[in-house]
Amino acid sequence: MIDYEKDPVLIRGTEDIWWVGFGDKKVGFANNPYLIIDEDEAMLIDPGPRGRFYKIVHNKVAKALKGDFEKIKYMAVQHEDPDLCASLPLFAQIVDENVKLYVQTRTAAFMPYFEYEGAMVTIEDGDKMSFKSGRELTFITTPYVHFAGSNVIYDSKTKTLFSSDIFGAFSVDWNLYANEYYLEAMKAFGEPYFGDHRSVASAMEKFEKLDIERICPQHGSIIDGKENVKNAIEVVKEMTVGQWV
Amino acid sequence: MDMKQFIELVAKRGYGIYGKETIEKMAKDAGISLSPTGVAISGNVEAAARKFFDAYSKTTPVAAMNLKMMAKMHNIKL
Ligand SMILES: [Fe+2]
Ligand SMILES: [Fe+2]
Repeated sequence: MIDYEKDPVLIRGTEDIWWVGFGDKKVGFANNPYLIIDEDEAMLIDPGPRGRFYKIVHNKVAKALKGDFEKIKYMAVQHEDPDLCASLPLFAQIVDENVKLYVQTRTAAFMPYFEYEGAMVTIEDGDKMSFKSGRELTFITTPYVHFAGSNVIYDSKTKTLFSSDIFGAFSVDWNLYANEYYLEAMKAFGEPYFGDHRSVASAMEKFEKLDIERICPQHGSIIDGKENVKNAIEVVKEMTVGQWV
Repeated sequence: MDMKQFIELVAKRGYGIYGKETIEKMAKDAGISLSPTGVAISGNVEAAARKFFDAYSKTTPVAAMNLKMMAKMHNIKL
């Protein structure tokens, strides 16, 4: 039986991608960092906040890596919000000392404000990184959804899209995998936070060209299966955005 | 969009945020019955709506924000 408060969870259909986040059912806001363990190397994606939240993520990463934090040779942050960047300097102290942080050029400028002083690899649309095994990740920029420097990451081995805030949701009734009501929870997050239709449409156009088996967002639930992925893209395309103006 | 239609929309959104059971209970407590064919309200529509929206907003700020956003989108005065 999985204890979602304490255990890292191996993502269904993959052999090496772990959910190391937490579902805050009180606030209705899950935070989902992910860990890819590729043989003897690992990448931590969107590490998360500080404080008691850091402790949760830290302990889950420790369990997934059996304590060997130095396996983490790479980290990535997909935009500059504190809910994914704040713990960067804390992780930087315990992972491989030569860790590389993959970050978009427009986001990199903000990293010193999180007191992250390690090495950075700045990426642009379509750039790739490879693990020693040859496994390739592609960085795809999604400008203005919801930051100028936002990007997502596509893992071609497992056909997984790490989508950052896109396809995220607000859900008190949180589950690790999206249920039949998830698309409404997704609107609850997207409508208030996405600014304009043009940028959202551009991101969706990029995603439609990919072969996606599952979407792993930084909030909300994992959207599993090609048909569900397709439906989610359609819903985001039709979302009414920029309504605070 | 009238108030009944708006309640229906908010409830649907609430299924995502809170789950179906919680929303159905919240609605029932406000005198609103939700069914696939629409919304039925036994008493005063405005009073029932207010009670439902209060409960909806009280539980978490993200739901309160969503309700405000939806009201703005559909020109509904809360
Ligand atoms: Fe964000
Ligand atoms: Fe976020």
